[in-house]
Amino acid sequence: MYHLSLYFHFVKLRIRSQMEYRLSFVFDVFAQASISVIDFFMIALLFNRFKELAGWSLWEVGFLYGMIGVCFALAEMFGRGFDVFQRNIVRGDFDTVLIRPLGTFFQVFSHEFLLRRLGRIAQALVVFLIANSQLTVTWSITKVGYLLISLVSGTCFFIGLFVIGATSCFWTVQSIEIINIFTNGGVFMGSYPFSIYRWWFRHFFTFIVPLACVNYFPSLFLLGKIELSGTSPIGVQLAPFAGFLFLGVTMLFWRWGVLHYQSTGH
Amino acid sequence: MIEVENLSKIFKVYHHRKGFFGSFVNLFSRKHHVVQAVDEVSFTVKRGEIVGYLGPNGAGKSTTIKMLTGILVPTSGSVTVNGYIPHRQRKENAKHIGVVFGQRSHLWFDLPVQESFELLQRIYRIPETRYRYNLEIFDELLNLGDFFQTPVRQLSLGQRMRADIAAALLHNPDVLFLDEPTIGLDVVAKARIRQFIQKINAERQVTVVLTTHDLDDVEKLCKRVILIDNARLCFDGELATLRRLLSTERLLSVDYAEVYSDISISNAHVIYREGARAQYRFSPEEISTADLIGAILQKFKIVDISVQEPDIEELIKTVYEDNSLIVPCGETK
Amino acid sequence: MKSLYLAFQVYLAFAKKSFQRRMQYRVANLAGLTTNFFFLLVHIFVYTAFYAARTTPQPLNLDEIITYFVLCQVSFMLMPFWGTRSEVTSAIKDGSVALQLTKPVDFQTYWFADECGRAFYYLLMRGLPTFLISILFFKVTIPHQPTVLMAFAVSMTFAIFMSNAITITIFSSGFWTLDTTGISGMSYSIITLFSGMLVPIALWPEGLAHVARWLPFEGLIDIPFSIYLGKITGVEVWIAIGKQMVWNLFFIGLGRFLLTRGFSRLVIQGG
Repeated sequence: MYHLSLYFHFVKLRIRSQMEYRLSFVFDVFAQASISVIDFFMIALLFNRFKELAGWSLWEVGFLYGMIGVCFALAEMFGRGFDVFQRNIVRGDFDTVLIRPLGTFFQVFSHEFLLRRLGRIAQALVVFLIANSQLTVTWSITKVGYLLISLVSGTCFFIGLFVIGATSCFWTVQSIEIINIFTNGGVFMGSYPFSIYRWWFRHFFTFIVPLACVNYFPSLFLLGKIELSGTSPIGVQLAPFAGFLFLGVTMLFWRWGVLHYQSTGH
Repeated sequence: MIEVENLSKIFKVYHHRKGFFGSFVNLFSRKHHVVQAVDEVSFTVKRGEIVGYLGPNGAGKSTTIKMLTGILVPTSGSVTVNGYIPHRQRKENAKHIGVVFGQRSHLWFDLPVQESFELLQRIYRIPETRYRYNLEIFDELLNLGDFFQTPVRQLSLGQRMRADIAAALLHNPDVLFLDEPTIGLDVVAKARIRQFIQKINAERQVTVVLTTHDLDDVEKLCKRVILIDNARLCFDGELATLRRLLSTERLLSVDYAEVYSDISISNAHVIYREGARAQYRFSPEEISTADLIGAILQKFKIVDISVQEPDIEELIKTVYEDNSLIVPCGETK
Repeated sequence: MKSLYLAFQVYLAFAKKSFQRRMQYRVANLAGLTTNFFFLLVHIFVYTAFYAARTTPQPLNLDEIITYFVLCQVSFMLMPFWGTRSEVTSAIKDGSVALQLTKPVDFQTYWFADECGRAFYYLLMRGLPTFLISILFFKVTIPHQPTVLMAFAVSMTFAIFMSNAITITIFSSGFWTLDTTGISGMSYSIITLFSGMLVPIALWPEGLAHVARWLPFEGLIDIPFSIYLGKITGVEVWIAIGKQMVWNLFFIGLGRFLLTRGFSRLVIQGG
C-alpha cells in the first residue's frame, strides 16, 4: 500500500508538471498521433494493391497493429523512467537513488510518467476498434479477459526492453541504440502476421525475445485463426504470460547491473 | 555509531583500444589495471561527534563516504553504521542516515522545494507533527521560506545547499554525511551553514562526518579530524594536535640571483629546488623567520623572498612523511 | 575569384570538423548499422509475402522493390530530416542558436557545410557498408549504363540538398513558436509519406500518386531511386532533375527568408 500510494503521488506530480504548458501539450498529443497514423496508412496502401497478406485481411492486420500499438505506447507512458535512464546516469543521479530507503527498480520506475503518449494510445485504439467492428469476432468473458491480460503483458514486455536498455547503461552507453531494433523495430515487425517471417527470425522473436506473444498469438486466438496457422493451442493460451516472465527476467538483469554499479562506482 | 575496520576499495580501470578494430575487440575483452582507492582504513566514530574527514583530491574521501552510505560495496574490510552494514542493509541504513553531496543535489530538479520535502515526508514516512516541527526549526535557522515555492533548478547555490541539508535532516537521522557542503559558497552562506550544523549536532546529538577542502570548516566545526592521503589513513586525532603542526611548520620561498651549488641553511630543510628557485621548510621554534632570512641574505644574493603557511595538501604531506604522527583513534583523548 | 576560393576553404573546414566529430562513435555506428539491416530485413519479408500471392505483373518487380529499400536504408541517414541532426540544427531547436551567430560566416552556408560533413560521414560509415553487404545477401539490381548512375548521383545530391533546405525551413519556425514538436511532427508525417519512403509511389492508387507527383517531397526518395531503377528514362530524367532543382531553389529561398526574419527578431528581442 505504501508503494502504491507513493507511486500515485509521483504520477500526480509528473502529470501536473506536464500540463503546465497546456497548448504545447495538446500539440504534442496530436503530433504523436499523426506520426503513428502514417504507419497504418502505409499498410492500408499495400492492402489496396495486394488485397491480402499470407491469408490475413487488412482489418485482421489492423487488429494486430492496434494491439501492439497500445502496448508499446502504454510502455512508453509507464516505463519512461527506464527509457530516459541513460541521461540520468550520465549526470550521476544514481547515487541519489541508492541513498533512499526504497528499492532501485521502484524508484526509477516511478521517476517518470509520460502522459503525452495518450495521443499514440488513442490512435492505436481507434484502429483496433475499427478493425474489430469490421471483423466478426464473437466476444465472450474469457476472450475479453484474455485480451486484457495480453495487453498488460505486452506492456510489461516493452517495459522489460526499456529495462534492458537502462541496465546496459551501467556498462556502456554507446551501444544503447541497439535496443531500438526491439522497441521501434518490434512495433514495426509486430504489425504483420509472424507467418511471413523466416523460421529463424520467427523463433528468435518467439522464444528469446517473445515479441510474438504480445499480439500475434493472442490475435490467433481472438480471431479464431489457430488451426489455420498450425500453431499449438496450448502455446497460444500460455502466450499472454510471456510478457510478465520477460519483465521478471529483466528485473533480475537490473539487479545484477545495480550490483555492478555498486562495485565499480560508474 | 560508525565502525570501520580495514576497509579497502579497489577499482578496475579499463584501457580502451584505439582504432576501428580495437573498439570492436573492446566489446569482448578488455585489459585493465587496478587502482586502490581506499587502503586498509580503520576508525570509529562515537555518537554525537563531528569528525572532519580530510585529504587531497583523489585521496579516497568520497569513496569512503560512498561505502558508508551503501552506494558502493567494499572490496574488503568491514563497515557498520548504527549497527547496519550499509551495502547489505542499504534500505534500513538509508532510513537512519542523511546524505548531502555539495556537488549535486538530491532533490527533484523540476519540483518546488516544498513538493520535494513533501515527497521525502512520504518516502521516509515522517509523522505529520514531526515533519511540521522540523520544518519550523529549519526555517528559523536557514530561512527556507524565502524560496520554499521555487523549483530546485532555479535556486542559487547557497539556497540549494540550505534546502539539501534541511532535506537530509527531515527524517531525524542519527548520522549526517556531508561531502563538501560549503564548496563554492560565499563567506556569509558558509557561516550560516556551519552554525546550522553546529546547532543540530548539539541539540539532537546527530553524528556528523564531514569531508571538505576548507580548513575553516574544520576549525569551526570539528574537534577531531581524520586525514587520508593516497588511500591510506595518515592521521586520526584532535584538531588541536593538527593545529600545533600547522603552526610549527612554515615554508619559505626564495628566488636567488644566481644558481648556487650548495644552498643549505642550518635548521631549515630544502624541500624543493629548481634552477635558482628554492623552498625551505622550517619550524619557528628552532629558528625565527627573521633569523632565517638574515642567514640567507648573509650567504646569498636574492631576487625575491616570501613566507607561507602550509596549505592542507602540504600539511598532509608532512604528516604522511612522518609516520610517528599516526595515532590510532582509540588513543586520542 | 580568390575570395570565393578562401570562403570555400572555410566552409570545407566546417564540413571536415563535422565529419571528424562523428568518427569517435564507432561502436554506436555498428549498432546503427545493425538497426538499418533489421528494418531492411523486415521490409523484404513483408514485400516478399505480399508478392507471393500475386501473379499479375506489378509496376516494380520484387527484385526492384528490394533494391528500392536497400537504397532507402543507404540514403535516409544522409538526410537530416530522418537521420540524426547536426549540432546546428539542434541549436535552432533548443534555442542556443544565438551562440552560433557569433561566427563571422553566412549562417545558411555554414549550416549546409556542417550537414554535408555529416552526410559524408554517414555515406562512408553507414551507406556504403549497408550497400555492399546487401549485394552479398539480396538480389540488388545494379544499372548497366554509366549514364544512369551519373544521373542517379546528381539526383541523389539534389535530394540531400533539398532535405537540408526543408529541415532548415521547418526548424526556422522555432524563432516564432517556443515549441516546434507540433510542427515538426506534422511535417514529419506528411514528408515521410509523400517522399515514397514507406511505399514506392509506383504502387500507390492513381489519385494519391497524382497528388504526390505535384508535391516536392518525391524528390527526396522516389525520384532518385526511380532513376536508379530505370523507371524514369530519356527526357523524363531531365524533367525530374529539373523539378528537384526548382524545389531546391524554392526551399533555399524560403529558408533564407525565414532565417533572416528570424534572426532580426532574435536581435530585437535580445534572444
